[in-house]
Amino acid sequence: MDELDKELDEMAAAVSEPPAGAPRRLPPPRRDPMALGFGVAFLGLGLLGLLRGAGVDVPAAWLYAAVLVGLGAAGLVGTRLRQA
Amino acid sequence: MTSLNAPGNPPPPPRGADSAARPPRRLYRDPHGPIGGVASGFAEYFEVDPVIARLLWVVALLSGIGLPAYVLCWLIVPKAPSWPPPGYLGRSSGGTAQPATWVSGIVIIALAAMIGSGIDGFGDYLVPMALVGFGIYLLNQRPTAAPAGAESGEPIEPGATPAGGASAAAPPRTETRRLVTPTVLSLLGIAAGVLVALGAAGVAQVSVATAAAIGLAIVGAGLVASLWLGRAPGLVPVGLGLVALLLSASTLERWVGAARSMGDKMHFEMNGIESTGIGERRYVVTSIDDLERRYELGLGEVDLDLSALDFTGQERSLDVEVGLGKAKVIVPRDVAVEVRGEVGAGKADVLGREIEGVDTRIEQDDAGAGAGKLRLELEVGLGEVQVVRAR
Repeated sequence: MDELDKELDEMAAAVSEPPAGAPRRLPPPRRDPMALGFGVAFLGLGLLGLLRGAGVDVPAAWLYAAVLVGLGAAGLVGTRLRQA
Repeated sequence: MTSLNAPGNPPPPPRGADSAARPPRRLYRDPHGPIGGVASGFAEYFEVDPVIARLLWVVALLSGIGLPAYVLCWLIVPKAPSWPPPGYLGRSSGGTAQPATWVSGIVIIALAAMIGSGIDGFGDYLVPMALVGFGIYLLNQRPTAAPAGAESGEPIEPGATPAGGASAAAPPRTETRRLVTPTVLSLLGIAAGVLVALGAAGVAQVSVATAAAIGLAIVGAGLVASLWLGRAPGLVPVGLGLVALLLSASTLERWVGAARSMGDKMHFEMNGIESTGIGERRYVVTSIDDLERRYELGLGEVDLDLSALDFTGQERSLDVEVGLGKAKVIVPRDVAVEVRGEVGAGKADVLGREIEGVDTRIEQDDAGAGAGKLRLELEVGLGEVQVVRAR
């Protein structure tokens, strides 16, 4: 009986724990359109700002346009996906 | 014994169930706050220690923007009907400050003192140290392994199990949910500290716009990561603030760059004459040979002292232009002066005669003792012109 319990515990441990060296799997992403939209928009605008800082000629007017379009798109993504 | 799909275990939650179960969090004022409850409300919203939030408000107060910002928040942020509001963790209510909180508070007070006394010299290195220390402190603000929902009666989220539960497959969302915002804020603090340190050490001067862009990228990455690591709605207003900083800094830096190039040009033209940079320039001319034909400044104050010059037998012309600010010229006691010029909007005080208004034309002659002649052409777009005789 003890051997059976021991064997069952080993089987359960093998099922519940990932094998050593195996990458841990991330949980599935949450459905959060606001975080997704604004996250991508902020990332894009940040990269654009970094390009300007690195010397790439991005006129300020284009930066304003990118901010408006980016934030508008983020808002749209946030509301449309929430409705869907 | 552990088994998968045992009858006692709950089924895995449907995607999006956690965000649907929790009511949306809004920024509220704490009705039990000592003043207006604004700092406590911010602490709850950003899920940081309330002592930190209060000390940051003190720093803001010392820097000058805190009082109007606090009053504005007091007016526009609604008071919570109950505390903690729905969806909050109730971190600030009834909690005792940890030693690390007070250590961090001391660091912030030191930072405030440096803001008050200027950050030159020693402060160049203390500020980045304080920022990095604050970021590391926030990184250490990991949530304790309290059972989900045990704190302030928060409902247990789907998929989370009580402490000692059998399922090891899905960690409670609550534990990671509180981690994203403090982690991103701490990374922002560390990044700001490193950038300031690089500037102080002379390794690299990073502009405010570039720093804002770096912060924006960090916040954006944090928001995307929050899809897997837990909710972080407080990062959206932080990102919007950084967008505003990026835009304003990009605009201002262009203006400052133009003004600085003008200042640099003046510096070389005025070789040998004292120059204090943009904003305020004082020239004390002691030899007639050092007198330039033209002095100009985009923004600030030009103070031109000619009182030591001897114009005997000389007839010289001089132009002074200031876009926005003040032009003051001190002429010798005995020289004959002929003043012409214009003030777009503002006032002129020329040899005791005062004029004020828009598009003010200046025409004033004074023979003096007749020891030489000085023609002054003064132009100020918006501001003040002053011409006085030396005593």
